[in-house]
Amino acid sequence: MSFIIPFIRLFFPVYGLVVLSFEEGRRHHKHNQFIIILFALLIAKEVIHKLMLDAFGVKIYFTNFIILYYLINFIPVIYINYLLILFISKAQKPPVMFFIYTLLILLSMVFFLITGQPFTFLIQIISRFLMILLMVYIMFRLNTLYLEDEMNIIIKNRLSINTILTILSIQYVFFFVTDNFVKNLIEIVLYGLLAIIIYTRVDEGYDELKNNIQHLGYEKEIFINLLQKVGSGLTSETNFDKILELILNYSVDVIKSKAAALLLVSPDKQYLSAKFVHGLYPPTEKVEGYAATKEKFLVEKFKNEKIAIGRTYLGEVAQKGEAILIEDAHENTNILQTAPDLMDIHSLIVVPLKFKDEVIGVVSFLNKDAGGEFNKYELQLSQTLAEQAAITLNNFRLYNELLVKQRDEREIEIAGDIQKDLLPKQLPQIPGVDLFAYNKSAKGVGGDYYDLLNFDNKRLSVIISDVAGKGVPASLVMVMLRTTLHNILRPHLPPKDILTYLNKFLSTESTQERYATLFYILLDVEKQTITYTNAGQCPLLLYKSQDNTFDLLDTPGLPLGIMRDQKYEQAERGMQKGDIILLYTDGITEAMNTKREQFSIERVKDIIRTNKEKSAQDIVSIIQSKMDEFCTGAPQHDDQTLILLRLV
Amino acid sequence: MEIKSVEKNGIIILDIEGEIDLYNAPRLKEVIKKNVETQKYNIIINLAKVSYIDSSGIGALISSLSNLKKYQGGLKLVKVMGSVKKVFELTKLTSFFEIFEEEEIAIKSFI
Repeated sequence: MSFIIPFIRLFFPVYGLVVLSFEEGRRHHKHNQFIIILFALLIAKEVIHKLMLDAFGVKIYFTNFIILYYLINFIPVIYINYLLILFISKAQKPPVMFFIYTLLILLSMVFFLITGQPFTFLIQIISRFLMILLMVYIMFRLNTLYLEDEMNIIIKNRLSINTILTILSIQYVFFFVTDNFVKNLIEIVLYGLLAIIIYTRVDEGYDELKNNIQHLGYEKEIFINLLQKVGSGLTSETNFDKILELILNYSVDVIKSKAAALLLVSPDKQYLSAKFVHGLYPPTEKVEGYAATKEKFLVEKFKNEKIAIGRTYLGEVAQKGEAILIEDAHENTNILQTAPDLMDIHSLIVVPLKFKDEVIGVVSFLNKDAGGEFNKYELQLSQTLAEQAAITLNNFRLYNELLVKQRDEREIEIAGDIQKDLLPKQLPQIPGVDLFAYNKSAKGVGGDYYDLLNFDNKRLSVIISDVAGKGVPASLVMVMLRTTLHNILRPHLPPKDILTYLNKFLSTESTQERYATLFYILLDVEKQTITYTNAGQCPLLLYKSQDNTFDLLDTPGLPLGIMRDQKYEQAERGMQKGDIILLYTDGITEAMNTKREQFSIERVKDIIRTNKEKSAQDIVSIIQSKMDEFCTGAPQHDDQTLILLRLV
Repeated sequence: MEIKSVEKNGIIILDIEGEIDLYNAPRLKEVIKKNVETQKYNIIINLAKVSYIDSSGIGALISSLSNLKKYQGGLKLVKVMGSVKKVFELTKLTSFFEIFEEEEIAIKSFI
C-alpha cells in the first residue's frame, strides 16, 4: 500500500503541471508560469522528502533539512493564497493578516536557525488561526463580490472554491489532533485542486477581462469628462483649434506624460507638423550649439519642423496608421535623442488620429510623469482617446457643416457619415446564417446603432440600439456604447450581465437625458439557440418556419442609462432551420405615410411570410422598398435600422 | 408645443399641447427648472393633448424627474394616451414614471 501514497500525493501537482504546461494560451501566462514552477516545487519536495527519508531516516532528515522542507512546503501555499486573495477578491493588496502569517512562518524559520528547535506550539496555533481567518476573508470577499457586481463573469466555481476553503479551514482547526502525514496529504490535494480550479476552470481570459473592466471604469470617466468638455466647448467655442487643444490637454492629464504633442498631416499629405505642444517636446532632428541648451528654442524648433510622412518615428506612425509603444527608447535606434541634456526620451507612445482609414494626424506622449515605462494599458487608453478624439473632431467638423448648410441637400449625406463611422463596415460571414442589415438616417445627426460580432464562427453577437436625442452629444454616447461593448463582449458572458454592465456605465447624471435602448442577442449556431435580453428596444420578431407563425420576444427592463441599479433579464430560445430573426428600431414600424398611418409590425410580418424562402438581403430590400412605397410623400422622421438573420 | 401652468394645493400642473420633440424638449425642461428655483418640487404633467413625443422629450422628462427627486419632489404624468402611451410602453418607462388616469388622483397621491 505504501508505494501508492506518493502517487496520490503527486497526482494533483502533476495534473496541474501538465494541464498548465501543455494547454496553448495558458502556458505563456505570467502567473501560470509561476504556478508551473510551484507545482514543480511541490513535486520536487515530495521526491526530496522521500529520498531524504530513505537515506537518513526521519530524525536526521527533519533536523538537518527542516529549512528546505519549510521553504518548499510553505512558499507554494503562501503564493496560492496570495493569488486567491488578489484574483478572487477585488482587493488591490492582501489583508494585513496575510503578511502577519507570512512573517510568522519566516520568524519560525529564523527561530529554528538560532535555537535549533522547531517553532513553538503557540506560534503554530497563531499561524493556523490566521490561516483560517484568511480563508474566511477570501470566502467573504468572494461572496460580496457577487452581491456587488451581479456579474457572473468572474468565477463560475465559487461553490467549489468555498467548499475547499471550508475543508481547509476545518483541517487547520484539527491540525494538532491529526497525523502530520494525513494533514500534509489533505493540504497538498486541496491546494492542488484549488490551483487547478483557479487556473483551468475559471472563465477563460479572466485576467484580461478583469483588467479590461478595471480599465473601462477609468475610460468611462474619461468619456464622460470629454463629453462634458467638448459639450461645453461646442456652445462657447466653435473653433476647431480650441477643440484640438482641449483634447491634447485632456489627454495629457489622463496619460500623465511629461511632454506631448499633437501633429496634423499637411493638406497636401506630404508632412506632419506640430499643432499643439505640451511640455518640452524635443525636435526630431539634432540641434547643435546654444539652441540645444534652451527649452524655448527646442520647442520652437519642433513646432517649425516639417516631418515627412514615413520619416522618423512620428512620420512612420502617420504612414502606417498604427500606434506604437516604445518602453525603452534607448534600446530603439529609431528614436533619436536630439536634446539628451534637457529631455532624455525614455518611454513613449504615439497614436494616429484617424477618420475612417485616413490618418489626419498623430498624438505623441513622451516620458511618464511619475517615471518608469509606459505599458500596454496606457497604450490602450491613448488609442481609445485618439479614437474618441478623431470621431469627435470629425463629428464636430460635420456638425459645423450641418449647421452652416442646414437647408442644404447634403444634409442627409452628412448626418449619415457620422453614423456610418460607427456601424460595421462589412457584415460578418458565418456558416449556417444568412444575414443582412439595413440602416437609413433621418435628417439630422442620428441615433441608431447596430453591430454584429462573429466569435469563432460558432457564436454571433447582434446588437441594435437607439440613442435618445440627436447631434454630437448623442453620437458621443454611441461612441461610448460601442467602445464599451467591443471591450467587454465575450461569447461566454451572459447577455443580461453585458446589459447590466453597460447600464452602469451609462448611468451618470450628465448623460441621463441621453439614454439608449438596446437589444442584444447571442446566437449559438451549433446549438441553434438564441439568448436575448432587452433594454427598452423594440421586441425581437421571430418567424417560426415549423408552423408559419411569429413570436415577439422581449424581456423586461428600462433603457440603458436611466436607473443605475436596473437589473436585466435574459431568455433562451431554440431555433430551427428556416427560422428568421428580425431586429428593428421604431423608425421602421412607426414610419408614417401622408395619412399619418404607421407602417406597423403587421406589414413587416406579411412581407416575411410571403418571402420567407428568399435570402436575407432580398427580404430586407423588399421590406425597404415596401416601406418607401408606403411612405411616399411623407418625410422620414426617425432613423430606420433592420437586421435580419435566417438560419440556413 | 404650448405649456399652460396651473397651481393647485401647491402642486404645479403643466398642460401640454402639441408635440414634444428634439426642438422644444429643452423648453419643457426649462419650465420645470424654473419651478424648482421657486421651490415648487411637485409637478404633474398632463399629456392628454400631446400627439407625439420623441426620445429627446422622454429624456427631458427623465432628467426632470430625477432633478425633482433630489428635492424630495416628484413628477407625475396624467393621461398618457395614443402614440405617446405606445412610446412609454415600448421602452418600459411605464414602470419608471408614476402615471395616472385622472388629474385629481395624481394630486391626491402627492398629499
